[in-house]
Amino acid sequence: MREIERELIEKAGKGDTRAFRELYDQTSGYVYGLAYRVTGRKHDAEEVAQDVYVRIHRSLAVFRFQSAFKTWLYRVVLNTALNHLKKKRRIAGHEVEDTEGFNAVASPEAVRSVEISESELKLKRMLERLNPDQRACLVLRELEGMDYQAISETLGINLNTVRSRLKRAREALIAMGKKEVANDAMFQNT
Amino acid sequence: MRCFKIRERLVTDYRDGELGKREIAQIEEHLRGCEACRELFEEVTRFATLPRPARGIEMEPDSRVWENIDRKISRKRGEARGIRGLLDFITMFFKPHLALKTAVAFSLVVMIGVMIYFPIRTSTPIDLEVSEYLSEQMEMMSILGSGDFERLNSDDDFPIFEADFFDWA
Repeated sequence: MREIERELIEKAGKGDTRAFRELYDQTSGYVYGLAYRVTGRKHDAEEVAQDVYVRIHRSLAVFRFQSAFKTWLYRVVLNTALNHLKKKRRIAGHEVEDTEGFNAVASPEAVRSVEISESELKLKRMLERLNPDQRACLVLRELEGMDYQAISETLGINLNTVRSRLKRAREALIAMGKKEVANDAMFQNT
Repeated sequence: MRCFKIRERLVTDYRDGELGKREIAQIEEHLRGCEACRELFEEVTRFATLPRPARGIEMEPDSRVWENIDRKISRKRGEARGIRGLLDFITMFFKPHLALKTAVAFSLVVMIGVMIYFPIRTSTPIDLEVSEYLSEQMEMMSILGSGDFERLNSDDDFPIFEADFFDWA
């Protein structure tokens, strides 16, 4: 996502509806995409995107440009997505079961809307195995190419937490990869 | 550096290019002589590297997302307007408009003028006698109601029967 013009942000902050719509058009692909990577579900990503823009609309008037709008947006999206998942988990009283996510990747609706390629499917499967905090860190590092400092600022956590979340995420992915290789080998032998 | 430290770096800082040249050199030297660490780094690259989506991270949301946002924002704006209207109404009493101030001042001036021109009439001696007569009549009626006729015949209690009240009429 490219940087958004200051003038547009200021106009939207003053209640200009057209400017707000323009801001939405310029950022929604990114907001929705990031929310989708973290939540792993289309429906959740839509809810997160809606909450993000309602929050942005409320806060734009007091946005002070002390940080780049893009960085602020990252933070709002990720915090909203993580809170959304935590809330869902609290309501369910247990880890969210895979009702729409991983299995639904192959459903016709999901295929149409997300245009899942083989690598997209693999990415989704890998992210599904991680907890939301680890997922957010890994997405920012691997897909957004952020360094540890930027991840720490975006998520509001310290550098060592970034490090430990990435470490655990990668260890989990390695374990999953090794298990899959072993399963494939067993399947070929039988 | 020991394997334990190296392995931690391999899955984090080394993998992500967060180390200085000196540390990178130390790790690479270690990797040349340690097969287990070399194997771990291969696993990191093979299993823990996310495939990059063809279109990057961006994905187009459904049009209903904007419709919902627009509806929520309009509703919030309506609520805010309602609260603001109520606050304006309340503050009007504490910070009245010029027109209200003028109206109140004008009314006060008119009232004072009327009071000066038509002073309130004080009670005359005749008013007082009428009022005394009426209260005595009421007291008599209450005694009649209670049936205490002895008290009715007592001259002390009812000087009104002396008929002196007719003097004023």
